Amino acid sequence: MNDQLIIAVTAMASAAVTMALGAIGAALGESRIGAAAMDALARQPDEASSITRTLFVSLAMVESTAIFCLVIALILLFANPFTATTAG
Amino acid sequence: MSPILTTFLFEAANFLVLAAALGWFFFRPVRNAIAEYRSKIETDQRAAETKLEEARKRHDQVDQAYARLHEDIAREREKQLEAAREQAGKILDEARQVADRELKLSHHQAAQITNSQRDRLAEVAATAAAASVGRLLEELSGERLHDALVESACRQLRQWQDGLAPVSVEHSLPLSETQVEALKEAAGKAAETAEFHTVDGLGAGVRVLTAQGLVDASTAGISTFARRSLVKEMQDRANNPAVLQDVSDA
Amino acid sequence: MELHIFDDPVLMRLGPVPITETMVTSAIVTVVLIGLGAVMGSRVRSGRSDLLSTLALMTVESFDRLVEDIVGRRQTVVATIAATFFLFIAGCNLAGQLPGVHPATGSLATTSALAVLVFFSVPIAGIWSNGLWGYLKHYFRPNPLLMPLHVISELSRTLAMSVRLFGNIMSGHLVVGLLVALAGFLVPTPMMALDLLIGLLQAYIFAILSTVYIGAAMSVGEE
Repeated sequence: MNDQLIIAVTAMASAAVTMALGAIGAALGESRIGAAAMDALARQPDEASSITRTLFVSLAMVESTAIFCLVIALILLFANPFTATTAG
Repeated sequence: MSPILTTFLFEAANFLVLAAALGWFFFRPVRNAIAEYRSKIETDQRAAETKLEEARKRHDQVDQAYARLHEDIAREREKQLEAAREQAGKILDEARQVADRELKLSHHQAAQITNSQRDRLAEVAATAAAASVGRLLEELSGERLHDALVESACRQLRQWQDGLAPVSVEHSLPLSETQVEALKEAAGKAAETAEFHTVDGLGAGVRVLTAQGLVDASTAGISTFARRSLVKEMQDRANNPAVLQDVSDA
Repeated sequence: MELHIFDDPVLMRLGPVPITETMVTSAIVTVVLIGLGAVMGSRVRSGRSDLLSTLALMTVESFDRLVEDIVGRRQTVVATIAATFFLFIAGCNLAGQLPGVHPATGSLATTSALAVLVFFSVPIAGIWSNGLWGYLKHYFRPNPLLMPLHVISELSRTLAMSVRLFGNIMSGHLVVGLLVALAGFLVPTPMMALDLLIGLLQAYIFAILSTVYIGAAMSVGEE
């Protein structure tokens, strides 16, 4: 039980850290993408459709890292292979 | 089989089926319709372009016709202008000729008027001259002029000799016995028929009326004669410009 | 409250084959999509110009143009696949907003299946377009040493696609479920609206990414 408790506490802490750092990185990256996209749109309004498409794809790419972190955090919390019982 | 694997396989197959079904029932007819629309639009566009080309051609034709019409109008106007100018020149010439004729006519009339005036002037001048001659003669007058005039009448009568009767002698101044005798002697045979009348206005001298003619040897007759000859001379000069010219040159 | 995050609840079993809730949901979505598509197709074929046929024309034309922009030429097959990805994922995501419906794309199995389909479509499209040798050559293109990196890149992007879609949809659904459980009725409505946006956006991104990958494979010979 003691081991299980340690594992559970460690999993929760690392899930929180994972989520926090992943969110920070993704937020910074997405903000830069958004700024660059605004700049490009201001410079070339004619290319709006192409820029918007690239913007969304890039946002999805960057956000996927945050999503990965979220999935990892969820795995740590609910599907941890080292805990005795898996959720669900 | 685990539920996850089953789901995985099912989803893959499901998606393939969905893609095939949508491709067959949805995308193919819609793409055909789009292609039809596009081809129809292209056909319409080509037809529209053809029509546009045709319209442009017609526009050009109309433009050309318009330009030709403009040229024609300009040429016609030039022609009309030329004709009008010619006509104007002709009319002007005619008018000038008419004016020349009128001018000549009026010159002529003026000349005639001048002639008649000149004639009248000559008449007046001659009358005045005759009057002055008569007055001169009367100034000169005296017995000697009277004698000379009677003598002259006698001479004329003597030349005629025969057929003088009836003789009528007119005089203003009284005739002396000698003069009466001389006249009777000059009349010869007709002396018996001679009558002596005293009339006014003859001045000195006598006027003898015979069957053969008139012997006018009086100052009035001389002045009349002078007037006549002066008028005749002046009229001759007027009717003969050369003479007139000579006179004016002189 | 029982959380089904990484597995699918089994509804019933047909012999040895388990029927999961995800399978049912996606099957229903598929049937609805096919029916709608068939109706639209027949409307368009009949030449009517009503709302449905205009919508169909707009959808197909916009996806054809999108693929043309990305690939560089008109590719009806690729456009069909990309549009089907979009329609299926968007349909599943929107269906997930219905009460009591677990979205099919919120299951890792579904998104993995879609991503694996993209993974296999890439070499198929590349070989179809460039020939077997023409396609395989590009693995060694800058340097033969980079060949493992190519392979890893393809594998990792497949994983990324599947996990991205799964994570977005599942997290949205999970947040809504947690809010309902903690705060109560109608509180998670803004989150559900955000989920609508995210669902359509992820479907669009999945379609675009698959098109980009397939298009890149088709034009490897042109580099």
